[in-house]
Amino acid sequence: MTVLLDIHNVSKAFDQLAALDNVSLQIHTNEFFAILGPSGSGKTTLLRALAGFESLDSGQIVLDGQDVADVPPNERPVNLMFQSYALFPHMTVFDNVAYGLRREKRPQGEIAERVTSLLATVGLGDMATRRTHQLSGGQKQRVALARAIVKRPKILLLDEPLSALDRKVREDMQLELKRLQHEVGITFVVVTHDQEEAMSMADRIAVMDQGRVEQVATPVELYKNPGNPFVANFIGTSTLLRGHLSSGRLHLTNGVKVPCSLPSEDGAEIWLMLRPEDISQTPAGAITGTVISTNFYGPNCLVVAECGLEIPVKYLVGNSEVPRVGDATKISWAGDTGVVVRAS
Amino acid sequence: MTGVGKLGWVLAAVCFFLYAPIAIVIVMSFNASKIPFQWTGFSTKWYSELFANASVLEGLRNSLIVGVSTMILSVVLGVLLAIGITRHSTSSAVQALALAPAIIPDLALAIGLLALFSAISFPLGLTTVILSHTIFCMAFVAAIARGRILQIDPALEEAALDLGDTPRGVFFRVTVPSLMPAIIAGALLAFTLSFDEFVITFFTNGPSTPTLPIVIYSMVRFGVTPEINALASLVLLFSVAIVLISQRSVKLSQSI
Repeated sequence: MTVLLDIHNVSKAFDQLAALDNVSLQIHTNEFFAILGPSGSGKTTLLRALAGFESLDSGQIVLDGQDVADVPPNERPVNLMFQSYALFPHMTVFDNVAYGLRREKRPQGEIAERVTSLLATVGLGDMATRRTHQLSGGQKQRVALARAIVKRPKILLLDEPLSALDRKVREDMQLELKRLQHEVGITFVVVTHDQEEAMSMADRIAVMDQGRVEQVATPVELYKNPGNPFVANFIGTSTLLRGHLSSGRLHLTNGVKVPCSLPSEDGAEIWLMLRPEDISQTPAGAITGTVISTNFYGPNCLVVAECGLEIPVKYLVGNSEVPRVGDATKISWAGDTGVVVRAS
Repeated sequence: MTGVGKLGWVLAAVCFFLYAPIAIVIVMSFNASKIPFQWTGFSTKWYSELFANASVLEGLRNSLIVGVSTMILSVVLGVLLAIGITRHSTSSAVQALALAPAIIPDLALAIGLLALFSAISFPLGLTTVILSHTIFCMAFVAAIARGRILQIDPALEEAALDLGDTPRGVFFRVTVPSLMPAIIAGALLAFTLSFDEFVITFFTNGPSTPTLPIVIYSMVRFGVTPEINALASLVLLFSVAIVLISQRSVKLSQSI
């Protein structure tokens, strides 16, 4: 795995407010990389800095061995697919896609050939002469995508690529993006606030919060071994119990003791992260509580119950055991389930 | 009258005061008699006399020179001004100052300009008229263009830059085409405003280059002749045509 993009100690502040706080990331060739974070986490600023639209206060962005931090956006071998798609309304689909090649002063024949074959690849072969306002949301996105990859950039940056689409179209496009990335062999860097989107598409994910990178890992690793409470809370659904370990039990700050036999030094403050599937609802359960909400998914149901553990507990039940709000419930989990998370 | 209700007579009165004078001018321009309000038969002779009138033709020529020059200057400057105040300034004072010439009373602007031109001993003529018209027409163009700029997605220009275009190329290939409806509307408005402008022209013009409104004014001082009715009708026709064209073109380019 060769490092294609090395983001090194990058910082950027707007009016004293740090948007990027000493961010370092390495992105590999041909990787599908996602930058995931809540709004205000600095992910969009990072993306715009990679495209060249934001200058850095400090740090380097090394692309393929060359520091591009001071290279203007029109000279970077990087293209950006905008969240709003930013298709030129006064041009046809063909002219939109051909825009970048024409600026490179490519021969007419080559432009026509590349644009036509790319439009066919993204499934818009018969739309070349359409105006952009005649297209549906999904079609607009395909045009934006084609326009951004036609120049064969070293990296394609995608800003919230699926956020403007309907759910059904979004699912299709997730697969489509994966397929295209394989087909064209370009490194994709996607910025998104939607963890489902990041988890389903990306090879690796960087989770950002308040201008800092909290963790970089594969989707599975992020889910199974979150590096800190923020990631544990942000990725997937979890119940995060805070306390200290002592003789095989977790002592919560309100004095309640719950099972936890995971290896960790005694006395240190930790968070025990329990995924909904770690907890079972059973008549033999030692922890009792009251159901405060249910969220039915089909095959199963997420139950939120108040069990006197400082925060409500979230767990899954099968679709034949769905409790009603207000019901008393008994739950338990094995002492060796869950993950111990420490503050970073 | 159910649709209009009790206030229908107000509407009727307003319409009468608005359109009756215009109708009279048009009807009288075809009156064969030289005496106003005495219909003696249909005639187009005043129109042919008009086109034989050297001073009217001279005025028309000057007005067209002023109108077209003002249109070009105020579109270029107004669009740049609009980009400047929307994209490169957050100060509302700058915006207000930039657009103020559109609402400053003509008389104040005219007196001020005359004083300025005399102070720097700039000879009065069509050049000073064009400069003066540009000052207030530019503000109208800027106001129209500003509205359009605020509607355009700023990512359009970034996208063009991202695709490898130079800042200059982005301006001509993306910014200007996106502003085209505002540019056309602004150009036509600037032309019509300049074409029949009187007060500022009267103050800033030299004696040897009268524009059409000045020519009409000097003719009217000796009474309204049927010839003037014919001229007014033509100016009206011309202005309405421009307004229609501008509305159509804005609609057309917005649908693109």
